[in-house]
Amino acid sequence: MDSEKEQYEKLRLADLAFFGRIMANISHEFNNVITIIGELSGLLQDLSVLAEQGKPIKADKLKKVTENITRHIARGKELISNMNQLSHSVDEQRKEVKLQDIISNMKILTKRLLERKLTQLSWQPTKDDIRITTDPFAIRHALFACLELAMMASSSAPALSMRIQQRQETIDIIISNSNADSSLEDEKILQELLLSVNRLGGTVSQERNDKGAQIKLNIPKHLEISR
Amino acid sequence: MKVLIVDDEVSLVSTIVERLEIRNVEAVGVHSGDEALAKIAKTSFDIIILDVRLKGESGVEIMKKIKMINSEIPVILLTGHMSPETSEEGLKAGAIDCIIKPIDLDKLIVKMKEAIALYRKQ
Repeated sequence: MDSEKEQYEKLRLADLAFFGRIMANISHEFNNVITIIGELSGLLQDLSVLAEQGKPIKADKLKKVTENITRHIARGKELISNMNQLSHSVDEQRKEVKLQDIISNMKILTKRLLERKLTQLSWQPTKDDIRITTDPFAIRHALFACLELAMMASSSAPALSMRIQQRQETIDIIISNSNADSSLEDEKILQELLLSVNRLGGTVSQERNDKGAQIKLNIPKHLEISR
Repeated sequence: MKVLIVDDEVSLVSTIVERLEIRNVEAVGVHSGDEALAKIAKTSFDIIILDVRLKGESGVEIMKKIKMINSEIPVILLTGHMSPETSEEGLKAGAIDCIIKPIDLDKLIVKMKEAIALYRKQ
């Protein structure tokens, strides 16, 4: 059994590793956004040089390029806004949050990571807002670990789905992989998940059957003790 | 010069292709490693510009497959952040160069010409 100090150190390192992975991923994606905007503005410069040489720029071409620039600026703003939400999730260890916002935040932050592993993630938002009082950082970390674990259960093209089930005092977040061909057994990630779930005062269970693999996070709607 | 550009960012590929064509460079763009391999099997290219972080198999893995189809095509890897590991792994696997995004297109053209000339000499 690890001492409290060892547990704390493990948790600190796992939190840092999670934050680092998300940061690295987002910085790559943000660099792509900057590169695209740079190329599109370069194209506008090329077209203006051609115009000076007597080849006029068509209005619809200009419209298309500027719309594309606007679209990628919006993409960059969305990345920054979501990164900012993750960064501020450490500000309070216990806070009332909208669960759908947390899931949407993690979905955007992990989009590229999932795509690189050819992962499909479907998520049916619930009609009503689900407000819970929890640790905003730990729940993100737990969700990320669940997604990673679920992805690892497929040798190719994981097909993930996420749903929420409300109980009286608790919430289930269920992540399924319908294309799983192995168990959810990565020891390092499991350990990381258990540490985060422990902080949330919850439990985690997993199931493997002929329909695929499933991880279920059960967390209280009201976290009583801050970490 | 005929170039194949491989990157899963659709807007990036189409814009680079268009800007290269303005500079009289024939360019074709694809968005995945599989598409690149299919294109190379059918068409001959003087050089390939290949993103390292593709969806599915990495750019380095795809480059190894390209080299098995045709070892005579120079490949320049494109990366967002150059780490010594990326560069070393890429060069070891057969890339002639690694360049960092954002791209300076005119410098890239110079690099492509140099790479083609070097391969033709060998």
